[in-house]
Amino acid sequence: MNKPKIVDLHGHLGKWFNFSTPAHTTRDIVADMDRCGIDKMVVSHLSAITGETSYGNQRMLEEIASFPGRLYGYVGINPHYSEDMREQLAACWGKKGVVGLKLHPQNNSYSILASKCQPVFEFADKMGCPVLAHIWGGKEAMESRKIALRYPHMIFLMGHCGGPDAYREAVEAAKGVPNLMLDLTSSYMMEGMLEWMVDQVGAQQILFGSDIPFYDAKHAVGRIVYSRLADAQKEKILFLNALDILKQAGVKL
Amino acid sequence: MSGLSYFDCNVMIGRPNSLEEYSIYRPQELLAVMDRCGIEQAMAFHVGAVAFHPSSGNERIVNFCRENSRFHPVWVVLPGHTGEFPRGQALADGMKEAGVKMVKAFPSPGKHHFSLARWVSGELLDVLAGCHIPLALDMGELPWEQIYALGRENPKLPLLLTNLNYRADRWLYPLMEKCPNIYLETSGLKGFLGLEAYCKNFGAQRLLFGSGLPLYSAGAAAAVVEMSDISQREKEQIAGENLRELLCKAFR
Repeated sequence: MNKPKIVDLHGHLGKWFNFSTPAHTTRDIVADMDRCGIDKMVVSHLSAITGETSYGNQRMLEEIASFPGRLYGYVGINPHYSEDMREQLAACWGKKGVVGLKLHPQNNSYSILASKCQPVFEFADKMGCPVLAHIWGGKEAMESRKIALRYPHMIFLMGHCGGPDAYREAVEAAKGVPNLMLDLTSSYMMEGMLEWMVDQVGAQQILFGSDIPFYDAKHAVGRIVYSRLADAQKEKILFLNALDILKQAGVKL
Repeated sequence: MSGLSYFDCNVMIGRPNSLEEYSIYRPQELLAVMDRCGIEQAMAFHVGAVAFHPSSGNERIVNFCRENSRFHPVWVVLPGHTGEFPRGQALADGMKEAGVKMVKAFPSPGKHHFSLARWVSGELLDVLAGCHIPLALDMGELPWEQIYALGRENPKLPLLLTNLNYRADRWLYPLMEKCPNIYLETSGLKGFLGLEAYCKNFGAQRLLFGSGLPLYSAGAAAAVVEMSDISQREKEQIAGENLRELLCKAFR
């Protein structure tokens, strides 16, 4: 297998409470990016997908500053805290390498349709930036469609394609909604599913994602590189689609 | 290309009860994926041995492997008290005659619904240990405490844990420390630099390449070995040498 060229729009920094991550430092992450052919990665800090957004977002800013041109950042927002949007954006937006917003509705127990989430999407729509949301379940996948249609200038990244039991809903949700992207990040990599998804929606709406350091990037790379897809389709999924999103978010490449 | 040739310890043959839109199940589809990913040979059990009954599924996998030389039969085992499954010397002779060098068990309540504790399965486990036949178990088939007991109480039985996931290290590390007879199939070891960490902490010789085909992506499974930050020697051990070495011990 030749080392592919990859841009990864789904990475994290830090450790996690629920399980051990054998490696987790930013240096580990960048070294593994080199090994796997990942040229650029957009990360959120894992603390920024909990209630402690400020701590995580500050760590994110420090870490991406250490690897300019390799690491970019999502600002983690927790919509339960009405002041979070204003405070976190004031602290982070406009800083070098910050390109989008990160939401985790499952971990923080809310619906993306809730009124408290709408300022996040309004901001992203105005900026034309990506919002990466952890989306888990068929209902949530269909809610993603509603949000993407309501805010057409925002790029909504449906994290994990809704999870292993919601791939059909995720694909249905994405049909005809070009600003709704299917993020392949998954620990469940089923044989043949990727090819089926491309057949349904086309390679232009599908994105590589690693979820480092939750899991390793190599599985995600192999799933695509060894698939039956044509090289042009693989290139779109591995990096071309992500580069378009970064360009729209104002990143000079 | 990596130059690695894989011997897969975790493949299923046959038609499962249900399919997803994208599922593959025909042998020729399976072989095409194996070719694409560099999987030369595979240990395979028959889905009929799980979803219908081991007696027929095991016969079918042996017949399938006789006609498909890249596959080697894995029997699905039960304890023999009910007369449904051979026991004692009959089991040992049957496996030897059929060329079976690995077995798998599905003891969970939703599958074959039995215990691998010694009071139920001691005779079965002793036959397997006596013949040096590895026993494969999917994660979730037994609670962790029972896997620990199985490993500790049957120290001569090689146990292969299959279809693991990246959230299990806090259980797997102590198991690997305390049970030297436990081996891990690699497809589910998805933790960040996880394979590297297992090699460093426990040695590559306890890791066996597996794909989980036809359910799981064989390309994902191959890439994690191929691209890992371990030596070429360790990759070769994991890709197939360790499995060959284990199988060579059968009936010796």
